[in-house]
Amino acid sequence: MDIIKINNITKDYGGGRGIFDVSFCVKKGEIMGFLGPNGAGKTTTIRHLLGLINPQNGTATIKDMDCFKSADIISKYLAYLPGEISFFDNMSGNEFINFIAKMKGIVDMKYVDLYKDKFELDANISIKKMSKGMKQKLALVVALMQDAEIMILDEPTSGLDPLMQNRFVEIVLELKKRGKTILMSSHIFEEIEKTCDRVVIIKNGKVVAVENVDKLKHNKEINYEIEFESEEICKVFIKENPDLNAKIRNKIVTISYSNDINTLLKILLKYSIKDLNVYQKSLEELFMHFYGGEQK
Amino acid sequence: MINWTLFKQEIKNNYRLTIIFVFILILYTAIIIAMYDPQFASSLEQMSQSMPEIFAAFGMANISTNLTEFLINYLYGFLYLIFPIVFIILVTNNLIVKYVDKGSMSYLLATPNKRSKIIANQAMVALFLSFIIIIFLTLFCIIIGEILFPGDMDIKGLILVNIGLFGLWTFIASLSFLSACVFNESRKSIGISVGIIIYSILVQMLSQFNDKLDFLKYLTPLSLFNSLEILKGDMKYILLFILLYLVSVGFYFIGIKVFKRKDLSL
Repeated sequence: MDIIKINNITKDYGGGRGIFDVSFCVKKGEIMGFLGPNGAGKTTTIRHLLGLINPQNGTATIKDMDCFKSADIISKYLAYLPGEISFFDNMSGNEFINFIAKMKGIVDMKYVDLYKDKFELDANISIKKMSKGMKQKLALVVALMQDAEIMILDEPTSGLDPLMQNRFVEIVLELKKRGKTILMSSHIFEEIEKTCDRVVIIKNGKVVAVENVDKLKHNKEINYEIEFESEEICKVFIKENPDLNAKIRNKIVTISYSNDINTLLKILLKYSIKDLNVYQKSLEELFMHFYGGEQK
Repeated sequence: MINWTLFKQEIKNNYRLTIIFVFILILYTAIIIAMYDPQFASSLEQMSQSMPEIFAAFGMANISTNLTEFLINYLYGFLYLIFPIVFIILVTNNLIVKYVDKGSMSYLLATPNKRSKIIANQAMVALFLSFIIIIFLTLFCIIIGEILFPGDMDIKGLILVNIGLFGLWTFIASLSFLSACVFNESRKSIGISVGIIIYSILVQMLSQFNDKLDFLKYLTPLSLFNSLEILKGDMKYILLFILLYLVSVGFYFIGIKVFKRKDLSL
């Protein structure tokens, strides 16, 4: 059953900005990744789901209720983590949590303590004095404390350190087990790879692809930067391995490679190497590599 | 129309500002009451006769025969207008404009409350705090007036005039509310409401400055509140301040309607 349904939504802000004919669905119990470069229209799409803006065309529904007209009813089932966080900064963290809990009608506060512990958040200080990471943790606690059946998380781990990012992944996996429906945007591949069932990719306001994460994993390409001892070796390497499509720049050779790393290492062993760097392509790079062709 | 959790929180956020304004206004009121002294009143009168236009522009044209009239002459034309306006603009900014501009409104709208309820609640907070101010002022005037000059105050008249004055404040509050509902950027919403209010005050001052400019009073909403005529019990002026209340209700209604439907980039 589709919980979140977006059908042919258009919101044209002029000058090519906005979203155009966006459609996708999120099934019950599914974790959907929402990807796209900055300014692609992720936030605009999410605003439609929250009932903050009216579509010019098309419909957005959650549990078959219109997102704009029934925003107040939907909010009983929906938790939202804003991408840009702005609180009531004259409060302390705890005051803010209690205030939103009251406004949302949350009685059972067990999840507040649970997530405060998990994120190691000391919410007793004034929001004004909090660092960016602390504010993000506070926003996460506020979003998760409702234990809502549907969650929309806009860049949930921005500003968090790697340890906390991992902890967030654990939490999402646990939520998934409990059957929550989640739509989340992210720029971090690992996060999406480990948690999401499917991803929807948006670019220039249009949906480029809706894809299973498993399929993308297989196509995962990695960039290798190899520095050889000398330019001669470098040239020999390129000559002997034309199928690797290597690019050369100041003795440094760059290869994009998606097959088994052992094969590559065996080839490289034949040459005298000074340095080897491995770069994972960013999510956007990765996806645009596959779907960029249709766009141009 | 009211969400008590939010209402209480907003009172908590804004009570300090309210106390400051009550304090400022009471201070000025105390000074003016202290100046009410037959001899000093006559010297003020002499001053006003020497430069009648200036005094008239600030709404202090009339010679007072009792304490209530004296207060109306020296407070209601300017001080009881300017300070509440500043207060209302600051409070509207705290209650609506800031939230929309900075995006924290999204937290309020992500609760199981209709937009109209949230925004109406904020309007009620602003009105409630203004009401607190006028209650303090009225009580202060009556109590201090009765202590210092027993029997010299037309208390019923003062209350009636203050009901009218609150009509004017409500009108200003509804105007800044409407502006905050229509515009998303604080620059615009504050700019437009402040612009209209400054225009109204200037036109009001000009219209009182000179008889030839008297027609200007039709171009400013502020002339709908005429404190001295209300004190005299003139039915026409009582109906005019009731009109202020009615127009305010209209502004609130339109503001809520607009806010309910508009796109919010939060």
